[in-house]
Amino acid sequence: MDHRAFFLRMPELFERANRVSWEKYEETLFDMRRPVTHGNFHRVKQFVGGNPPVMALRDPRTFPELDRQLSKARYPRAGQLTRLDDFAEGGTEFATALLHFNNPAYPIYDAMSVRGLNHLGHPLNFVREVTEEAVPAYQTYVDLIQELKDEAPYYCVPEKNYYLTRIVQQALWQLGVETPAPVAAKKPTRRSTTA
Amino acid sequence: MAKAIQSFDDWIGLFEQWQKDIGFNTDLLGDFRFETKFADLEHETIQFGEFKGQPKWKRYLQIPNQQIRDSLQHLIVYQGDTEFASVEQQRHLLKSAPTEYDLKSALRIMSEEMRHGWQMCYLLVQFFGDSGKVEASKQLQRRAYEGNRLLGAFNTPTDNWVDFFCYTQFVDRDGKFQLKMLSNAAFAPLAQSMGPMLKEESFHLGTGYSGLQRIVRAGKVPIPVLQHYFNKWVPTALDLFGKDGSSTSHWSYQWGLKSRYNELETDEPVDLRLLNAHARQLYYQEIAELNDRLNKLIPEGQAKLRIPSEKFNRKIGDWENQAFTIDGEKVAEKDYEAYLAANLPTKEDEATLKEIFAEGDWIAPKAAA
Repeated sequence: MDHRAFFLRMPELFERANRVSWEKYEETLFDMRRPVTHGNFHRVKQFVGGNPPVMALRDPRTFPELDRQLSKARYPRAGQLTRLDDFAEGGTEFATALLHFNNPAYPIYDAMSVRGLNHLGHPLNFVREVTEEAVPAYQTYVDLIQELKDEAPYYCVPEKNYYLTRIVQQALWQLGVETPAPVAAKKPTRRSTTA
Repeated sequence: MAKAIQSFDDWIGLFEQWQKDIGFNTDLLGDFRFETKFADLEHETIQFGEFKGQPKWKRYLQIPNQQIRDSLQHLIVYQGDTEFASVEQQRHLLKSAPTEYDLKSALRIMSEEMRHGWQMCYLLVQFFGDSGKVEASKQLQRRAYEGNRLLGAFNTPTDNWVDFFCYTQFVDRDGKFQLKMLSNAAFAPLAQSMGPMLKEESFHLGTGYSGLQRIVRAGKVPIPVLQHYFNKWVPTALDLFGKDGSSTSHWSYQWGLKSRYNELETDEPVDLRLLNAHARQLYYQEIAELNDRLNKLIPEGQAKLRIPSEKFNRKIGDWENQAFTIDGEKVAEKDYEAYLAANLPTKEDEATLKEIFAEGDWIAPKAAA
């Protein structure tokens, strides 16, 4: 699919994806505050699916340190992702959700949205764990979504109080869901992919 | 007297001074960078008016005559003035945002409105010679809170967050209509400026509408109080479309500067006498439809929100300074002042809102799908 065709479908793709996730997404969005609280952290974890990491619950130093690291993130630079490794206990989706809810210009990184980008002709891989290769992969993802944001015609952008990052990423996610997996892969579940 | 500037860099100096003068804390801008943005032209040729089919004008001297140049400059000046004015109207709300995301949203809206003003001033300085430079400087000398912005709506106080959400729903939505009408302009740099501005405007409109949804969903602000704020802002927004039978809009269309809102989507023949009325009618239809959706969030048995009649409390157009109710019924002149006082935001409404804001939970943490 070329970009033009994607943009023309963007409102409808976004709408379909958002119909499922809007409630949790908005509750998380409007709950966020600085400095980051345990409640915020828990909510973001619930949003991407699952319980909060055990470490986060036990260590009182977690939240001030997390707040410090989130404060250092400067969009569109993705390097801060590695600093979130301990908090997210390794998962890129959760780490980037922390970034997103701190600064919604950062997109949440997940397998389905990456697959959506693949469908638009961008050959990038999804890196599940926060490893060294995750940073360049996420940086490419951030840059591609930024390009789509810049390129999108105004009449393809729905009137919504979400950052355009979220609208584009949700549309990509829906496209990823609709696109057959390249190899016999497990069917995606909502739990791990609504981000 | 406007300060003389030689270049856009000089204008940026005035802009930074203006931010200080109005008390806008630029530390809050974070990563936001002011820049001019131009989209690709959707159409290389003029799509309407007497120059239809000719290539769009890319430079000032390609504009056929001085009257058209003056008229174009006038349109850009008015557009720019509204952008700076809205920041002046809203700047004090940053201290009382209900959530951090609302604070971020308001900040983003203000930053983008400043950028839109920046974009209009860039056009004035780069393309309109000395008079453009003077006009770009004057944009930063008028003040909404001193009542000397060019259009009435932009001198109206925006006192609280209910005002803010009504403003972004109704007044910014008028802005969308104006920008879309300019997006087909024969002057290419103006047309190319509109796409990025409209894209940013989608967030502003979404913020207004979802803010109202969240207020209604929370159920703390009484609907009759909210209705008074609708009564304040809807007529103000309707006035922004200008006079019925306006010769300015007639010539703006004829010269290819400002199209109809649905110019490229309609086959209907144009009625040059009713251009403003036509745009206003489409706007009215849009806000009425959104209001129907909003009313679905109000529990059964409670009063519903209404979009006031287009005759109510108008300061411009066919219904200018005439006495009508919000339902469009005639009111005796002697009773009108009291009617207005009872149907626009009152001191009691302000006190009620103040109390509700202090209690918290007046706005839900989610809008609607």
